[in-house]
Parts: sequence; C-alpha cells; structure tokens
Amino acid sequence: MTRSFALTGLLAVLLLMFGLNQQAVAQQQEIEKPDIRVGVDGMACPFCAYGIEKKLKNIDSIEKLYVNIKEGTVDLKLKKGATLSEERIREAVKKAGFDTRSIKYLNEAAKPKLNPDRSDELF
Amino acid sequence: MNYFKKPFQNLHKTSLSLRACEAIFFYMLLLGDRRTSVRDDTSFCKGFFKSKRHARFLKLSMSLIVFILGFSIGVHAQITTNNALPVGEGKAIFRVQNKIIRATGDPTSTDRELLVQAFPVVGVYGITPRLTVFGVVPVLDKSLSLATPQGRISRGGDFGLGDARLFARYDVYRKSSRGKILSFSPFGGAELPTGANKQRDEFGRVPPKLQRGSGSVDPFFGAVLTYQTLQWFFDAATSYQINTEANNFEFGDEYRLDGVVKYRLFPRELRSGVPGFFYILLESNLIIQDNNEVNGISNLNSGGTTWFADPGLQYITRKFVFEGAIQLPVVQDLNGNALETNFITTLSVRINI
Repeated sequence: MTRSFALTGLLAVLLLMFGLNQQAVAQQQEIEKPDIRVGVDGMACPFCAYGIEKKLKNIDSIEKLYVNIKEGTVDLKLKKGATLSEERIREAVKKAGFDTRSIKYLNEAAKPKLNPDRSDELF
Repeated sequence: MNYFKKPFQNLHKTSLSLRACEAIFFYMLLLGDRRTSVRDDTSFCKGFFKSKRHARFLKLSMSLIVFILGFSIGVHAQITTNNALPVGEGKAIFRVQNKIIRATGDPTSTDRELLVQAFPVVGVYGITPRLTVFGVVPVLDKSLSLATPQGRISRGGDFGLGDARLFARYDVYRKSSRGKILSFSPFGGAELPTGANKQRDEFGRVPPKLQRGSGSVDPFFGAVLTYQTLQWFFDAATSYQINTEANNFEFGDEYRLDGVVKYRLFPRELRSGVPGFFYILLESNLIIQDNNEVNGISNLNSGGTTWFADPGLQYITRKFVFEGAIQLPVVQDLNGNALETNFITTLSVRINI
C-alpha cells in the first residue's frame, strides 16, 4: 500500500517537475503588434489550446504566438522578413484537431507574394 | 484487524455523504498507515452527520481534501470516463492515476472485505487529427480479508502488473465554432492478459477475482459523444466488453453507460490569454455485468447492476490536469452474495507533451 502511494507520488512529482520546467519556458506573453491573427474554432479549454500552440510553434517562420481562449484566436509574430501562407496555418490547425475560422493579416508584409509554396521560409 | 468491519456494511441503506466520509477517512488513514482504527473513525462519520452544520462543513472539507490530495499524492476531461475531445496529430498525453476500490457488505458469515489499489499509467497518442490510440498499464494490488473457522485470514495482496488495455478512437463527427466543440467518436480495443493469473498463496490458488490478470483477451467497443463550451462540458459514453474464458473461468460481459456534466467555477469571467480552468463536475456510471462462469456454469453469486454518482473537482492548465473524484454507489442490485462496492476514489495528474 505504502509502496503504491510512494510510486504514485514519485511519478507525479517527476511529471510535475518536467511539466513545470516546460511551462516556464513556454510561458505566453501578449504580442504588442501581431503579424497575423488566426481564428480557431473548437478551442474550449486550456489543454486544447496547448495542442494548437504546439503545432503552430513547429512552423519555422513563427517567432512568437499568443493564444486568446476567450476570443478563440491565436496571434502570430513572424521572424523578421518571414512570411507565412494561409495553407500552412490551416494545415497546422487541422493537425491539432481543430478548424480555422479566419486568418487576418495585420501586417501585409507577412503575406506571401510570389511563391506560396516557399512562403514560410526566411528570405 | 477489524478495520474493514461493520459500520459500513449495508451501505446501500446509508447516505452518499456517509460513504464519501468513509472514503476520505480511509484515504487519510492509509496515508497515516493507521489501519487498525478505521472502524472507529468511520463510526465517527455517523455521529458527525447528525449535526447539519457539521455535515455541511464536512462535505465542504471532503471536497477540499480530495482536491488537495490530488496535488499532494498525485497519481484526465473526465475522471472515470472517456471523452471525444481532439488530441491532435503527433501529440502525446500521459496520465498517472491512483485508484482505491473498497467492497464489503458480505451477507454471508465469511464477512469478506475486498481492497484494490490500482496505479494505472495511461499513454495517449494522436496518429492523425482524428485517430487516437490509448494504452493503459495498471500496477495493482488486490487483497481480500475473510473470516474462517481458524480466524480471519487475508489473501492476495501482491503488488504487480495488471491487465493492460489497448484501444483506438476515431472522431467520425466533429462540429465546432468559437469556444465550442461537438464530437462523436466510436472506439474499440482489447484488454490483454499481461497480469498474473495463476497466483498462489499459502491457501492454494488465489481466486480469479483476486488475480491481477484474467488470463484472457477481452475485446471491448463503444462510442462517446462530447459537447464542450468555455463554461460547460457534457459527455455521454457507452461501451460493451466481451470477457472471454481463461483457466476455466470467464468474467461476465460488462455493459457501461457513462455521463459527465462539468461546470467552470473559476475564472468566473474569462480574460485574455489562457488561464487555468477550475471545474466542478458530476459523473455517472451505470455498470451492468453478467454472471461469471466457472467451467461453463454460471456463478449466481456474481454480476448485477451498479450505478455510481461521482462528484469531483478538476483543475486544467495548458500542460496539466489535476483531478479527483469519488465514485459512490447510488444503486447496487447485485446477484446473490456478490460484494457491494463502498466507494472508488480516483486521483490523477495528466501532462500534455
């Protein structure tokens, strides 16, 4: 019995330590001038929000992102000179298991112009 | 060693509060390793509930204790049921649980008392945005105390690996809008014979219900419907497990109907960002089990219908879920002298990887 509690406690502590460490690194801050605002449908709890956050973070051109669960939006700040296509954003949101409601380019420079296939690479 | 005895026998005749009280004290005593006085402390619950003010205080305290234990002991969003929320391609979730099941109320002179402590580790992985696989590996300990002409004896009690469950869920229907999602997902899998099923002790072969594993491959299937908003969560699931024969013994097939209602208590007003959500929830589990079979013959002292109501608390952040619930039997219509469940406690931590 005691051994079971000890094991449970130990594993829980290890998970917490690992998670809190990651949490500290991944703490979100509101973006002052986002380049793109993505509307995401179905995002109804913090656990779901992290799934979308993680998928979008895998895109190289994104420097920072900020999830607003109340509005169901994700603000993206791109790396300097980078662009990001709508297709790439929709794909990431879909892979996270959600639907893209809207994509608004708040900074026109973030929109790919010539070659959409290579739009998420740095120039 | 009377710690399992009388006060909570025939609990179907007593209130849910009393059962919850028993569960809390039981947990506290286990933590304090003071087994011998459980009887006295649980008797205390009865007296305590005579005063309304005390009863209210105790109910509140119990909720808080369960929540705090969830943090301090640590062992998913629903606590005793599945859900149909998306996991996402390439995303993994781990969950550690601690479950305690206590069953007494033996109408026979053997006065059996069953205690199961399980420590299931759950892994979840999103293969595609709609297809998710689950693996549950429990480490558990089952012990039975019973009266014999030679005195009270204890059987089982070996801590080890139980039967693992592997299953997959596919989200066939999903409709979402801002802050809302409705999803329907069938699932199916099997319970695998990874647990010891030929254990022996000084009295001979340990009975099948006390073995950590069944020795059989038991397929199961079902479906779950989930509707979630930023404030509310509703979930309904049904499943059927076909238990097969091993070692001349077959557990009765099991049918389940589960439901969950969850309400966000805090934050009361949502602001920008992703705050942690604190929920209060009520789950319900209706479990109907057929008779077990020994050498092809039905055991009339097994199986029956149990309906649990499970109040619980849950705190969800981006990376973690901390939760606790107590399954309290509202109805137990069991066959013959099958043991009645007093309570099942679940404490759990989930991590988003």
